[in-house]
Amino acid sequence: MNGGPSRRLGSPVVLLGTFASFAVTAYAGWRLLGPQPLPVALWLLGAAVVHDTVVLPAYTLLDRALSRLASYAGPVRNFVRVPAWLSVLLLAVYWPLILRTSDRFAPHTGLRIEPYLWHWLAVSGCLFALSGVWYAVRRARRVDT
Amino acid sequence: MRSPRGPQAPLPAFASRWRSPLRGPWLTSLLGLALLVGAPVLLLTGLLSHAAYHPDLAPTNNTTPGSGLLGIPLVSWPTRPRWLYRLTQGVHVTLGIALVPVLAAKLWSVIPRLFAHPPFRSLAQALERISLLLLVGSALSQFATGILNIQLEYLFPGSFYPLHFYGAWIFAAAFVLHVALRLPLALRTLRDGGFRARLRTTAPEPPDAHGLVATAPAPPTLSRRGALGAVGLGSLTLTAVTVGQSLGGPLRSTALLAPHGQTPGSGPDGFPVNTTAAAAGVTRPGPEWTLHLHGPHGRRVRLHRDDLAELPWRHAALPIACVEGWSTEDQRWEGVALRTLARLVDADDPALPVFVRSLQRQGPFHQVALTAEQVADARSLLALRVNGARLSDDHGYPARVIVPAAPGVLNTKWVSELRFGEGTWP
Repeated sequence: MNGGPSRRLGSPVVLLGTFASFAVTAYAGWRLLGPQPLPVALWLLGAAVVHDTVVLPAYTLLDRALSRLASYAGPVRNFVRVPAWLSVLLLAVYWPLILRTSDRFAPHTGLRIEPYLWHWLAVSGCLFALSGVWYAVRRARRVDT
Repeated sequence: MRSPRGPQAPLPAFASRWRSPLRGPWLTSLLGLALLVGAPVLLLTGLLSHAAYHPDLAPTNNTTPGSGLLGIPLVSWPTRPRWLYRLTQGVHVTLGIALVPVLAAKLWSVIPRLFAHPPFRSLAQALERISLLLLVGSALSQFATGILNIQLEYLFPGSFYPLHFYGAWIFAAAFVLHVALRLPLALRTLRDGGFRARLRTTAPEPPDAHGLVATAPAPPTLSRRGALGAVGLGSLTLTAVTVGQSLGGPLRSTALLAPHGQTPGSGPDGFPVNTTAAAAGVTRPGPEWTLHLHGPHGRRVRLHRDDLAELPWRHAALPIACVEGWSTEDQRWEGVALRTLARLVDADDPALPVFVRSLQRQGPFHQVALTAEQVADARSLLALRVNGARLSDDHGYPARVIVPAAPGVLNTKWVSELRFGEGTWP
C-alpha cells in the first residue's frame, strides 16, 4: 500500500477522522465568526500563537534565570521554584482582580476589588514561608543523620 | 508504526533548546490522561448550563440564536434537586480553574513538537497538525474567556456566550480527533513505562520517535514526582482559593481570590449578587409600584404590594447559583407562589410557561421566560422577603422571581410584569 500517492496522502482513517472533525469545526466556526470574524479568529488562534511564542519561552527563560541565580545554593532552588510557580499561577488566573483592572467588578457585584492584591501577596508570602520552613526542617534532619 | 509517520526530530536548530530531562512520551501521556478525564466534564457541564437556560423557550433566553444542531438542549432542565445548577456550574468553573496548571504542563511537555522537522510527511499529518492548532488555540481561548468572564473583565471579542459556546464545539471537535489518534499510544506508553519506577527517576525517558525526549538533556533539577507534584499542588492551590465561592456559608471567606469569596455585608441580605440595582440602572420604585399579570384568555390583573400581602404566602429555602460559578447556600425566601399568581389570570390548569419582565430596561436577561414545569413547582416564588427581611434593592426590591435549580439570571429581580402563556408574549 505504500506506493507514492498513498504515502503522500497518509492514513485513510486519519484523513476521514480529520474531515469529520473539520466538518464540525466549520459548522461551529461559521456561526462563531459571525459579524466580526477577524477579532474572533485572532482570539481563537492567537491564543495558541501567543502561548507558544511568548508565554512559554518567557517562563522558561524566567525559570532558567531564577535557577542560575539560586544555583549557588543548589538544593534551595526547588524551594524557591515551587512557591514561585504557585504564585505566578494564581496571578495568571486572577490578574484582573489582583491588578485591579476589572472596572465593572465593584459596581456590578457591590464588592471591593482592593483586597485581592493583598490576598495574593499574603497567599504568596505564606507559600514561600511554608517552603522555607520545609527546607529548614529537611536540612536540620540531614544534619542530624 | 505502519503509517508513513517516520521519526520527526525537532529542527536541529531547536533540538538543543529544549533541554529538560523530564520531557518524554510518558509524562505527556500522563498529563494527557488527566485532561482526558477533565475536559469531558467541562464540556458536559457546559452543555448542561446551555440547557438550563431553556434556550428553546423564547428568543430572550437564547444566548446563541441560530446555533442549529449544536444548540439542541441536552436535557429538559428540571427543578429538582434544587441545588442542581449549583453543583454543575460550580464544578464547571472550579474544575476549569483547577485544570489550568495541567493544561500548561501538557503544552509545555509537547512544545518540541511545534518545531518537528519535516513539519509533515503526508496530507493526513498536515491536516492533523492544523487540527492541533485548533485544539491548542480553542483550549487556551476557552480557558481565557471563561476565566476573564467570571472576573467581569470582558477583553474578549463580542459577547461571552457565543464565544464560549461555539469555542467549546471547536475544541470538542479537535479534542475527539486528538484522543482517537493518540489515546492508544498514550495507554501503551503508560503501560510499558512502569509508573512507580518512572516517577522516582530523573533520568530522561528512552529516545522516542516523536522528538519529545531531549537529545542533549540538561542535568536534572527536579524529579518527575516533583514536577507532577508541582502541577498537582498548582491545581490544589487554585481550588483552595476558589471553591469557597461555590460552597458558601462560612467557607465562602476561604475563597481568597475568587470573585465572590466576599459577601456584601452581613444580615439577611448579606449574600452575593450578580448585578447591583445601581449597575442595572434600577431606581427604587415608590408605593405606586404595580405588578401586571396577563392571562392566556385576555384576563389582566394589577396588584399593589398590599394586594400581594393578602394572597396566600409560601416559604422556600432555595440557593442562588450563577453561571459565573459562585452560588449561595439556601436562603429563606417568602412570597407568593408563581402558580398562585397564575390562578388569578386563569393560567393554572394546565400550567403555562411565563414571560417575566423587570423594571430594568436593558441589559441581558432583563426579561426571561420560564417553563410550565418551573411555574408549576410549588417552590417557585415571586419573593418579597428573604431571611426574614424585606428584599434589599440589590436583591430585587420590591419583588423577584426565585426558581429551584434555575441559573441565577433566570431569577429576575425588580419584577414588573408576568405574562402567562406564549400567546401573551411580546
